[in-house]
Amino acid sequence: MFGIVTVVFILALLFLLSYHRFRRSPGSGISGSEGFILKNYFSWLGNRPIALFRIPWLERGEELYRIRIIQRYPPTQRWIFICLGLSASYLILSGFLFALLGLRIFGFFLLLHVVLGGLFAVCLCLAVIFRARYYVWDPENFKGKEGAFNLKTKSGIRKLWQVIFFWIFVASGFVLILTALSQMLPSFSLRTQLVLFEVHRYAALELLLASIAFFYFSVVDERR
Amino acid sequence: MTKKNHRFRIIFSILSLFLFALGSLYLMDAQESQTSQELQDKQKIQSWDGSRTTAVHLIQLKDEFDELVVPSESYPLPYSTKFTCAPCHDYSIIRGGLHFASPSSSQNGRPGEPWIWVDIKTGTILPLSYRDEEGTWNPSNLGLTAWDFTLLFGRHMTGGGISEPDDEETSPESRWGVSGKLEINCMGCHNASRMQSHSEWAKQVLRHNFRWAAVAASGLGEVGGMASRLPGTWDLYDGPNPDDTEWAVVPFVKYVRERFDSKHRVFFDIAPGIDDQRCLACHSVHLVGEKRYTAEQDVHSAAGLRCVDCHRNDISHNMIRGYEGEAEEYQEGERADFTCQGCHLGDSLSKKGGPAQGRLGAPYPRHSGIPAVHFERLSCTVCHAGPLPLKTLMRVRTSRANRLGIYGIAQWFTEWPTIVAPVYVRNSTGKMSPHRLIWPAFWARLEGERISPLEPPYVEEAAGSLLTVEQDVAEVLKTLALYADIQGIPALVLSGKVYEPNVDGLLDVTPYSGKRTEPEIFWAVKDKGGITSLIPEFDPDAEEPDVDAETRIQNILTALSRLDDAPGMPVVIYKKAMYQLTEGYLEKLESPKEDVDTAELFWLKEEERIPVVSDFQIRTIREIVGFEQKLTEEQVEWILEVLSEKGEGQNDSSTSSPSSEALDEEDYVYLSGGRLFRLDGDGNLSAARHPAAEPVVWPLGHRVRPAQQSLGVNGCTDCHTEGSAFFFGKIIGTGPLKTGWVEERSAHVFMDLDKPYQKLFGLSFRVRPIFKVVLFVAAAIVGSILFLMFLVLLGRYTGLLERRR
Repeated sequence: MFGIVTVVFILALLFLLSYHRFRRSPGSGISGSEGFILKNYFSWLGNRPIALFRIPWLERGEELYRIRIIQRYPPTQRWIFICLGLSASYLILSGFLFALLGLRIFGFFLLLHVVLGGLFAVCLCLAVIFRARYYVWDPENFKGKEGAFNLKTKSGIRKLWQVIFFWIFVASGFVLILTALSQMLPSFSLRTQLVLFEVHRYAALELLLASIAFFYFSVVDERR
Repeated sequence: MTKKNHRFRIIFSILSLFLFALGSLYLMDAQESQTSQELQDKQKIQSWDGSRTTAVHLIQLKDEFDELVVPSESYPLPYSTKFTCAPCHDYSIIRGGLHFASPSSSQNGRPGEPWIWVDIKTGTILPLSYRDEEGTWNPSNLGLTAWDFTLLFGRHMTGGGISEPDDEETSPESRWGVSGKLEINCMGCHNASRMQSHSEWAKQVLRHNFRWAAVAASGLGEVGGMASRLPGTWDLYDGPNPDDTEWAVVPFVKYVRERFDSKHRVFFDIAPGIDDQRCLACHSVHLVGEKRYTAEQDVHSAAGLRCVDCHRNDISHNMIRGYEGEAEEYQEGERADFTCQGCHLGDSLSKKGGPAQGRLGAPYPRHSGIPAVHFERLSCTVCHAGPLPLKTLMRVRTSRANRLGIYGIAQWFTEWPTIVAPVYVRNSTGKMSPHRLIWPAFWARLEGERISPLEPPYVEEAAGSLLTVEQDVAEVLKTLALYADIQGIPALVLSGKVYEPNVDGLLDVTPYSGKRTEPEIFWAVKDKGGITSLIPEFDPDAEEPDVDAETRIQNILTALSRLDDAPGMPVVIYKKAMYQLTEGYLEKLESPKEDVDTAELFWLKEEERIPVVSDFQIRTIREIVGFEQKLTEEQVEWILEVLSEKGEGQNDSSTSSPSSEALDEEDYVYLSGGRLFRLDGDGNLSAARHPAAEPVVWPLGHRVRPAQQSLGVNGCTDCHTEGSAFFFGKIIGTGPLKTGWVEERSAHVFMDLDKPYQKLFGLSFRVRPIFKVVLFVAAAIVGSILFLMFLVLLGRYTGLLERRR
């Protein structure tokens, strides 16, 4: 069941984001009928794999690292976000791979999952401390200052989505930490633990979706 | 023939065929109905009317000829359960039950404890089973007949099954005609009377009084005589032998007449449900070293449950064993009701329909703090049953293997085989469960890769005195004690230990506390004053002979000459003199040896002096007496040589000898402690691993401990540490052979787990408390910030909080 839900939601999100990207791209036929737009979308989607191959990924990655990490964060904070990213990546990869295969994570994968889970918790905590101020949504502040956003502009909307997905990420992370910790305590019965385990899984799905969306709105959409 | 007639014939033929077919179908159906009717009639006999009471069993006894037993007759026969119980309880259905049907049954469920053929003299510990279980040997393949098997294990058998063979299955050497068959002993389980004696059953089986065993054990009558002493031609119709009332007395039964009423009916005290004592007669397990008054009951027994409250059965006697997967194996869903999960958890862990929990008041376990993965990988018994895992395994004794529960003056129970527990192994469902384990030990013929165990009598015959070292030395000392007119117990002092004979014909060993240090070996007498030399110090060359000393020497020589199988004439050599008996008188000669300070005993055979106790015997008793092991490497070497020579001799004389290639590949081996021992090219003993030397394991279900004594009650570190006894406890090979070549394994090997990972995982639990603190702090901070964010949003919306500039 969880596997099916995961696949469905990821595909749905990818569809929405890719459609959003399509609508933002030139020649998407905004004025046409819905059917015409959809036809254009699928045609555009079909060309994306070829376009993806043409992207110089290494240079793009280096540029991303330089702009998003080196220039944005002071040296003391960089490692927090690098570790956060790497640990989250492994946690997501290991957790979902086994879940989609219908297996329970085991062996060294499990050990690493637990260890990096702790690292993720610490890094998330520090990341929120350092970055929360940049993701406070003020409903009245629509001026175009740095850190503020205007819902009447595309950048404002983008920033709103960033805020939303940032806090969804943080909230999911909190639930993940809490459920992981709860299962280590001798306080909950087996039935409760099974529920906590399911909550952990769905929180992980939520985190994955939020991180994809956040990445899209922070990096992909912003680049355009 | 006209066309019309022809047509008529065809129609008639077709009609006839049709009627014939119809008739056949009807007859087949009638037969089926008849069979079905028979079944229904049978079931009517067995069916339950719904009353919760037990019938009063005031019934007449029938013998094996289905004749009424009249206790006042001169030679009444023992009652037969087959005919006494049968009118109401179908014996043929019961015969197919779990306790009776092993050889013939195709479905025996999960492996159970095998029968273990123990012969400590030959160092044999051979697991046997008719159920084709891994590591066990089928008795039929070893040449054991039903008769042999019954003699070996009838003491703890229920009767029926292999011990009640059909007439066609009897073998030439069996004596079923003399002893009768060992029928199912219904009262062995169903008798509520405290007079039911398992010891009496064992005693009668030992005497070959098979048809009399049930009546003796139930206390209905007194049984005398021994079928084992009767000639093989004796028959029940021959009756008692009035000429022999001392030795070969024909078995007889004297019924307790007071228990019979005027209609020759006797009351069988059948309780509604079998008493645990009946089950424990064969299914007791004891932790070696545990005292009786500190031994705990199974928690279910302590709660008031009986064995049969869970291990139920209908007339088929296919008992519910209560393990996971049993319901699927037997295709009987109700068996799942009586597993641990079935009673305690019901179907709450599963989405499928199943039993509700709480049967018989079973408490529901919360299992707080235990991750769910444990319930997928471990059976309930891992944490709740059997001994707790320690660094080394615990030794247990079981009724059937170690012959427990047979009481009398003689000691019946044996230390061998050595059974250890718990060993955790994956079962057929993939879950780990605790097992008991033995290491087999036996002599065998190795042909290529094929191993064929040798029967102990064969080995004993071939090895001869190589296996009777302790007995031979004890025999010498016993002879001296009986006939040498010695005040005290003759003993042999050897390397600081005193060896003296005991009532079992073996040797007891105690430390030597005397002051004498030279020589290392000497003959002695143990009395109240301590240990003194067998022959007191005197001067053989003195002018006046020491009469006491010479009398002692003469008595010793006279005693030794009584020994059977003495290889020569006994002589005593002391200092420069040699004493021997000539025509009953003591003769002193010059010693052929150099000056000897302590008296030495020899056999003189054609000028050759053979020590009464040889160097081999000295080495052997030094190694094994006072120790559990009863074989030395030297003995094994010699015996393997002897077996090889005997085997070659048999092959040479055989008319249908195997091919020369097969002869070359044939070898004799001994297995013990997880290793296979054989002679290498130089004739030295070598050891290697072999599948036949692998230990035999079987799952355990009891003793179930209370929750406060379960594994994990002290936290995860009960199992998950880098040096955990659960994962890394040592399992060391044991056997009758005293050797350093034994198999040594870690528990994780049996669990099929990866050692480095388990070590690392266990190590992680050292930092787990800190890890939890870190997670808690991180969650607290993140949670607080989320909460703060929520409050800020709320404040901004309500205008209570000013926006930041």
